[in-house]
Amino acid sequence: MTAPDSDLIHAEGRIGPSFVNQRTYRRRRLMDMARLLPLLGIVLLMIPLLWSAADDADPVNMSDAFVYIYVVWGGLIALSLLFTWAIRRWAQHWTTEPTGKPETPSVPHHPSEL
Amino acid sequence: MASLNALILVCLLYVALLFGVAFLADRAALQGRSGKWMKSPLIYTLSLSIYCTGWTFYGAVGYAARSGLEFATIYLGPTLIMISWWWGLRKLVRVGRSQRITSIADLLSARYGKSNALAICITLLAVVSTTPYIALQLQSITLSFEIFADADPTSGFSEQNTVFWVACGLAAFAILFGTRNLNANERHHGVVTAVALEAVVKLVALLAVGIFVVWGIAGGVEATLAQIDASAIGAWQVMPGRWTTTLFLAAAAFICLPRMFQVMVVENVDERHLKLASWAFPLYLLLISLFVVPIAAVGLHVLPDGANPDLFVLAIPMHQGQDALAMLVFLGGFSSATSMVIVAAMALSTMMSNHIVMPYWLRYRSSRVSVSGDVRNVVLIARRLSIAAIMGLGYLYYVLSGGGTALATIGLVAFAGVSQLLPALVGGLFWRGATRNGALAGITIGFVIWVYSLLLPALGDGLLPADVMEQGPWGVGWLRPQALFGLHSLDPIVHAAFWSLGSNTLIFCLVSLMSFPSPIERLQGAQFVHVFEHSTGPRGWTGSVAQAEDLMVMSQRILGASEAQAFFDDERNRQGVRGGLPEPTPGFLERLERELSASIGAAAAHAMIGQIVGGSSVSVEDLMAVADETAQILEYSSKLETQSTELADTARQLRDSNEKLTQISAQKDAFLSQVSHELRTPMTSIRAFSEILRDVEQMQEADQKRYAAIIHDESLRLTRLLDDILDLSVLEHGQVQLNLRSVVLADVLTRAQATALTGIAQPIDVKRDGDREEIKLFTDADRLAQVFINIITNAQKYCDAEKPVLKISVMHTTDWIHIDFIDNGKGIDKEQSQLVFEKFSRIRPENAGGAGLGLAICREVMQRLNGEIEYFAHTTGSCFRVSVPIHQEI
Repeated sequence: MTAPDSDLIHAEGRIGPSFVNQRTYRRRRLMDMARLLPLLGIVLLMIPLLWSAADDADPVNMSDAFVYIYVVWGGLIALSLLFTWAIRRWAQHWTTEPTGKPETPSVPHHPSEL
Repeated sequence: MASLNALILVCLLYVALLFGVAFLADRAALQGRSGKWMKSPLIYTLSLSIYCTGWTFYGAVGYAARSGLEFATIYLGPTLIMISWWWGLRKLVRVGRSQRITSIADLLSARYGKSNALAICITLLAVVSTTPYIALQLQSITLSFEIFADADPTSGFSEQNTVFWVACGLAAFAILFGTRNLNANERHHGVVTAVALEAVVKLVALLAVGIFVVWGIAGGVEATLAQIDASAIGAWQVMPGRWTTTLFLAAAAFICLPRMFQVMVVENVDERHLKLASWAFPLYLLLISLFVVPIAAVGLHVLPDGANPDLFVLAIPMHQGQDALAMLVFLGGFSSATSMVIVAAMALSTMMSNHIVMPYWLRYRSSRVSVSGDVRNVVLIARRLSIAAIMGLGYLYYVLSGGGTALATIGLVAFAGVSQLLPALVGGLFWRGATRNGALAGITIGFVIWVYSLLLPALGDGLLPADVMEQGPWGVGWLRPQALFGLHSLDPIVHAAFWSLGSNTLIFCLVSLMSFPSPIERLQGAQFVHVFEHSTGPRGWTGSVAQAEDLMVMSQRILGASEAQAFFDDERNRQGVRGGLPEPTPGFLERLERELSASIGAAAAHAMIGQIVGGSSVSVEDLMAVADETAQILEYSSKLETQSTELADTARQLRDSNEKLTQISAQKDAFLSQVSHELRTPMTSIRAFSEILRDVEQMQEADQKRYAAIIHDESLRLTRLLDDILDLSVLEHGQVQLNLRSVVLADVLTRAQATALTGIAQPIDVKRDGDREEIKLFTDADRLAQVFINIITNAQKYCDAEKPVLKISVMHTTDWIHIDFIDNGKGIDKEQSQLVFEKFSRIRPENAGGAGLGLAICREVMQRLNGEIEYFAHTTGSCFRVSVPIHQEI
């Protein structure tokens, strides 16, 4: 899948700088978080499939399963809230240059495969 | 115990409240007074809760009572979608806003080159897969009525009647809500606000029941957990296949359901609202499902065996004698069902009217649509009829399926159906290689498999005979609806989802890889996949004043400053705003667009206003429409150019004609003055001598005779002159009658010579060519002779040689016969030689006997005879050449 954020789209055959400034680096990690969060959710929600089921000798209690699912659920919501808070903070602090000039958006790459 | 009548009264009051809220919100939006709360992300988040329908409200507990925690997947799927909003939903919403998308069918058709075939296909799929869902809402409301009716033995309750009236009521409700007005961008502020209110009601109701169950009945959290473990669903018992499948289907349906698309994308005012929704909506889902398992466990424990678990939510408070709580729960369930039905019917009716009714209505209407109100009425009627039809289908499904199936099953059937749009949707947003043919083929195959393997079996025995279910059609075992290709161990939902979505995705990818998209499709594909590069970020919506200013600036450029000012002033007066600029209300924008389109064309006006107000990008369609208009203007201007060239030509011709007329008029004046002059000379002599004859007495006879002779001569001359003028006039006007016949040239010459030289004392010596003259001509002999006589007479008159000789020679070329008259005189001066054929030109006026018309007459005669007469200066004298065309020779 193509990452929507412009600075994640690299021109093919164009080697980007190995070191980017801290602001860009932070933003990229933020985007990583955005992509990892649903994956984390899927993995956590698949874990119950490994549990022994009702027809096994020692089934997992419903109350435990109930608590697990809702804790995972609540955790995902909390992480999502964190992400929202992070991009708001990013929007407020990191898009402004020290000189007070707003950060110019990086020129997006247009794949010319039309 | 509340009576059924009281229940109906409460329902009606509640509906009236919702309607009031919607009405106020709509009016506020129309007047541009929409407050902060209306555009707040909270309203948006709450409106997303139409995902939680009557199925959630009643069915989740039933689901949990049957299958344990599997029900949670229905809410975990959307949660996963919401937390991946940054690269998923955000793109969808951005595309929807920038392309002015009105429904999911519109989105996919726009992505795949505005294909209406695809839109129709998706609309049909959406209608078919939403129908069971609507039946589900009918069922949940009917069941909740039923439970009240059971407790109230005095009511004459009938299930069939109730379902029918509930369907009618919901249809009326949806029509009243969803089609009250037409909004250009298909946003319904009123409906969204009412839906948000309902979201609060259903959450509060479920939480209230949950709290009552946990702390009122079970006695605390610990005790509840213990009771859960002790109940029939006390152990973890989830089929892995179903768990993943329902998780996936719920996630897919969350973005593909037409009603979800409506609130999530179409009704979205600002894409930044997603930021709050990304965690607040999962929280809403968590809260609404938090007490489901406790309610199920306590319900199984408290309620008698055989109680319908789908109604535990309502049955527990009633069983415990909590009438007020039961009423609240009833309202919560009612809210869930109504909000879903309204939005789903609205979304489907938009799709049906935009993609099925309107295209055909416009195509089959002979006359073009001229009044915009005309179309709006048709659209509204089409939508109302669509809503009625959708509700009718839902009712039919309920009756056909018997209404007995568990709520959860119907819901999953609908989810699997609508998920068939997922491959085309995701492919369209992230893969530029996805093509229309791929989408069409994938959706069709997925739809067919879904109908065959899930929908028809779910409809009950009526539609698929039992032997087909067991042995497959025509006894072909591997075509059994629920065991395709021998996969008989799977759960029906898992089986159908696997085969339909699997083949859908496979066919979609294969056909896309093999087919070639049209240019529009490729452009749209690029616009969709790279939407973040092609569109600007979310607009600030900092207030409508800035927009009004933008509009003013644009209008001034197009209409002109004073006209734009007048238009805006007029609008401001209409709105009753004092000072400043008018609010950009929909009506104002419409009028402005109409005003602008008169100057720059409808498409361009729409695109420009859209740019300023909607923050949407200009689509390829818009550009093409603008190009069309430009082409029309170009064509018109080239027509104008042609016309102006023609006009210039005509003007030049007129000028030429005028010059010619002026010349002719001058010639006529000159001719008249010459004629009067020529007439005057003999007239003067005649008058003078006739006066002498009259007045002088005793005149000698010889004088008398002499004077009389002069008068006679002069009148003869006058007559001759008049004859010549008449002759010339007749010739010039082409009125002469030619007496064409076959003659021999020698005869004509001989006759002319005789006539010209008879009675002359010293006739000129004429030398003839003899045999050469023996040529037969087909001509007017008298006229030709007239020419010859004239030339010979002139030679006689003007040849000043001592022994005048006139040589007449005949020459014979392929085309002409030239007859040359050469004398041995001095000839004519060069400057005069050019005038010899003009009227009244006389070479030597002193010895003029004629009026100077002879040669002019000759020229006219020769023109009539298709010949020529020319003058040459010859070595020995003057030479007149008469040429007669040979083709007249016989």
